[in-house]
Amino acid sequence: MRKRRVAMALVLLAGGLFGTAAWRGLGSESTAEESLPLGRPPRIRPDYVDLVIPPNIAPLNFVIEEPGLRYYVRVEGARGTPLEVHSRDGRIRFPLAAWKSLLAQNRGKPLRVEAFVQDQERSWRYFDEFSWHVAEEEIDAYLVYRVLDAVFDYYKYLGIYQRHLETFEERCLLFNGDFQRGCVNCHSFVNNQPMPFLIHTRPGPDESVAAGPILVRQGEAKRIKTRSDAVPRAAFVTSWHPSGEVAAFSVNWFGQFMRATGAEPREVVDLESDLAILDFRSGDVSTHPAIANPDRLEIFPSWSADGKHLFFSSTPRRWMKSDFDPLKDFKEVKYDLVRAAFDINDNRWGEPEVLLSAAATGKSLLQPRASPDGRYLLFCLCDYGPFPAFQESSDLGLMDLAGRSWRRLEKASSRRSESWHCWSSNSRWIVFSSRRDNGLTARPYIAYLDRAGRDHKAFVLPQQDPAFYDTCLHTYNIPELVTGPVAFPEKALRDAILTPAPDAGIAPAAWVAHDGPVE
Amino acid sequence: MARQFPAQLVLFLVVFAWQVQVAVDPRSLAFVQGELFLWNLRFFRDFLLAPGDLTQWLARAVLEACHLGWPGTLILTAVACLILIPTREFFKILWPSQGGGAWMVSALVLIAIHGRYEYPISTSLGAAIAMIATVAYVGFVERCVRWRIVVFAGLSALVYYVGGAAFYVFVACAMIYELYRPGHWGVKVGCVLGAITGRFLIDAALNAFRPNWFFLHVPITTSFAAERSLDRLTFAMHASFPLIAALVADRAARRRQGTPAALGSNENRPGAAEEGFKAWLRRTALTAGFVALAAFAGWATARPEVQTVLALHASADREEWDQVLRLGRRVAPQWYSQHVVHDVNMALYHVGRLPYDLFAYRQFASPVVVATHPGPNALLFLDLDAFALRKLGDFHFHLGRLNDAEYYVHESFVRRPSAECLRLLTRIALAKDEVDQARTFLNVLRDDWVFGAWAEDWLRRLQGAADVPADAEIDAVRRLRLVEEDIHHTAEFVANPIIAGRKVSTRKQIVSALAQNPHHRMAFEFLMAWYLIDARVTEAVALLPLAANFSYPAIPPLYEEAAMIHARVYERRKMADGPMQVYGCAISEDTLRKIRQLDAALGSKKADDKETARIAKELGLSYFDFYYYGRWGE
Repeated sequence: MRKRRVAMALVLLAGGLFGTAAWRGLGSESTAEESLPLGRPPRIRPDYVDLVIPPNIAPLNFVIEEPGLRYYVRVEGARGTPLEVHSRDGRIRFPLAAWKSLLAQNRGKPLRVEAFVQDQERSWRYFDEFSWHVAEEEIDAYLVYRVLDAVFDYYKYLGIYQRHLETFEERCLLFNGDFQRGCVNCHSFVNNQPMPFLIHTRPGPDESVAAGPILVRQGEAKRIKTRSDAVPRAAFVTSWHPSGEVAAFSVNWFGQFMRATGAEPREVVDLESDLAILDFRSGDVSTHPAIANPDRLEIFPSWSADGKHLFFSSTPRRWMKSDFDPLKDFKEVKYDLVRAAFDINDNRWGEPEVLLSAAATGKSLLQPRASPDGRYLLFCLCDYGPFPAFQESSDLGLMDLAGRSWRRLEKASSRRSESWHCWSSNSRWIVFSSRRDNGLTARPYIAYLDRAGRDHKAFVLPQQDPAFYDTCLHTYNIPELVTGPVAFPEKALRDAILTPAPDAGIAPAAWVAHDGPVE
Repeated sequence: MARQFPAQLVLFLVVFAWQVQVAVDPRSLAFVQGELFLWNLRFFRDFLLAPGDLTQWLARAVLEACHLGWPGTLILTAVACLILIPTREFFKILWPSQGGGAWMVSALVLIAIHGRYEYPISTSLGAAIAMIATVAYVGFVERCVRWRIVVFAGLSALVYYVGGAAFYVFVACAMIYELYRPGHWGVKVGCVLGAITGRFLIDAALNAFRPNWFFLHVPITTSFAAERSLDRLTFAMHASFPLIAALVADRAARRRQGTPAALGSNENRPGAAEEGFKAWLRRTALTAGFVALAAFAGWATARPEVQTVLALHASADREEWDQVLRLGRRVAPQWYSQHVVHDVNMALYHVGRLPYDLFAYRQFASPVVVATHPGPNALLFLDLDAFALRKLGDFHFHLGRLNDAEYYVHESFVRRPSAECLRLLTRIALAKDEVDQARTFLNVLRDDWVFGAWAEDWLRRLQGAADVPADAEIDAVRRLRLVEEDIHHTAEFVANPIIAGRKVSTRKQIVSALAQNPHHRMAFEFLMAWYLIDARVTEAVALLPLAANFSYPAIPPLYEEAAMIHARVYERRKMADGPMQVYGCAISEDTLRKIRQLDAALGSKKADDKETARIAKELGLSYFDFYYYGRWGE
């Protein structure tokens, strides 16, 4: 009796296994051989159709936005075992190990992506295939970014996170819930290295967190002094000199308000801004008329790859110098792209030189970032203003520093705002924040620049859940590529954030209302 | 079954359900405490990261059901049942002969405390978890003495993780049981140490876990967060269980010391039948007394005036404008806040009665909420910042000032995420033709129980669409959409030291909307309302020619009265016998007749403003009444 039961169970088990195997096998065979063409590419989200991708990127999981009972995707390269993924809900998730293997074997070669869907009549249909061209050059393996709500005035929580681009691993580096909801921003690294780095803080609701930068170096974190009588405001955007011995930063007085018309309500005006230099060798903070002209506003400093020039954006100062009304005349402000020579040995500045003028382009030229190979300058060009993240018109532009020619990156840009871009250490990849998905929240987009400086279609940072962005209400900004994981003493950094600023006693002179246009 | 559900308990639950449904109103409860709740794993995941957050998640689910009305009542009654049955069992274990009745004290605390809208529902859920765990522990110890320290520590850790501060209810009740039970002191001390260990192990485990970015809920990570967040009502509720347990256990111990011999059962003694009848009578009287006391506790702690205000706000959220107006008449003066004024005026506008019935309701300060400052009579237990910002967002949405609406609603959403905010953000995005943005909001909102179906419907309509399909509300708002930038007309630049900003005037925003679109009925009516409430009749009268742009059958009497006040006060015009015109506005014979009657009643003597207002009110001249006296309030 017992033997019969065991035999019956074995038969049932074998039958089940055989049935499953047959179903799986038949599924794929009928897909490949009996399906009918639909004559168009599939609708997928995120838009991963026809891309150039890094050989070390995590799987580009996506959702097929086509009605169907079952889905099947096959990714095939010249070498290696093709990837085959079946799905019942259209969510295509590639196995990590097989994905990595396929990409590694097909560096510099295209992958064919074929998508099939089983319709309501249970017959399979296939879409036009699309391609993923695997680049030869890798992207830096880690991306550090800030995540926050779609903030207008009030913010509650935000954090700095690190994403391993070769997998889906994301790690929280700093979360402001740990330090009285202070604001952290503008993290910056030296030559794409994860250490040392600078991070800036601003007060939270209870004002317990001081404004100013924190230097993290050699396992230590400490607040540094950047304010002086000549530079009384707290440091903002920072750029490390390639030597790591000097950093340039801007000191700003921003105004923010909400426009009543247009797609993007948020508007920023720069009321005062200058650049200054922090010398880590001596701890001195200095500035110079070349980068802090009293008649101009300078912002967004960025060093050239050889450290001999500082790039920045500059515009004539209007606030308190003319009848400029920030709420009325904000569209008149446009920035030039400028550079000034710098000799790090004796801290000597050359005359500022306009690389590209707002007058010539009709655009405001912002956030210059030089490529590590020294060939290109990547920047934002938008209709006006100092803050491209809130400008619908902001696109990416690329200047060839040798010939000073420039062009808009047509394939990487979109009809929405692009900003906060960075380079990979090999100068082949750029990552930037783009609001192209919905106009409200920014997400990290990756694009390839080939050796000829041609840009290729940008794609959003892949996520394990291909529908992740469908419900994501958070903004990702200031993505910075680094070559390794940022490892630092968390407690030391949190302690440093909660220490008072060494230059806390220094504050700008109070603005006097009757000097300005507002009564 | 009858043992678990005695008549007292069943009757109490009936009274409790009546109290929640009628006196408290689950929808009002949801209005006060409700926050965004999404029925999906990603949202749930956020609630796994801090002690007590699972109870918060459950509470949000219960409040979501409260939005639907009676299902919320049923669930809250079930929660009360889940508290009281183990409580009763526990007290019976502490004092088998008489302790079972002590649960009635807890029941009275429960019904009384539910009359307070600020009492967090999560406290009841935590109490239920704690009392169930207590009975489970006591039941375990009664059957098996071994491993009790381990079981106690395990249950402590579990209750702490799930219920947060309810952990103390469990530990206190279980320790009272242990202390009054014969046993070695080492075991009792071991239990205390086990509870402490369990609690801190949970803290250590959760602190070691650094999550990825939260979806929509960020847990509080500070030490002793659950304890710090205790409000007095939660404390009272939690403290009641161990206090009553201690009393019961103490009484039982004293009784045991006084009567060492076990009493025989009543039924075995002579005259048991007669005593049985007396006992039945006593039980019946006790039941009736208890139920009456419960009803009294519910009645005494109910706040019908607050309930009216909350029901009004909840009705405004559901756009049940007639109901808002009905409730508006019932709001007591001491509860008539700027938020009530706002909702009533929005209701009047939506039913087309704003120019006619404005002063049929109390008015002060401004016709809409203009700032996050709570103002007088506000319900301070509400999250007033988020509430006022959402109201402002809704107002600007209907006014066609979509960017301002977007700003206000986002500000509200960051402060307090709610499904109402998401729905409003979706509508704003649709009106701005931001289809992808609307889709993002809808994708989130589809997992909300209240607006999920609405979201699904819109997602279906937007499927594959590049533009927004036709929709009456969206089309109407689009027609009113602001065309020209007007920030420099409506705001004042403020040179704050770190980030400069602006001070926005809602009134100027309405003025600008009307200037750009003279056929904007909402802008016209609210601007008129603003001027009338401010008693700025000159500005109000100057707007009167615009009334021709709207299809009023005749100039609304309130506007005529304002015109007549202007003529009498500022133009020093005497009443003529014939027809009168002010700023091109012909005053109706009816209004003229009333004013003549007013003049006749006042006679030649110079009446004070209060007397003028009194007579004007009797004659139906509601703006005269307001202008001369009513605006100072009574």
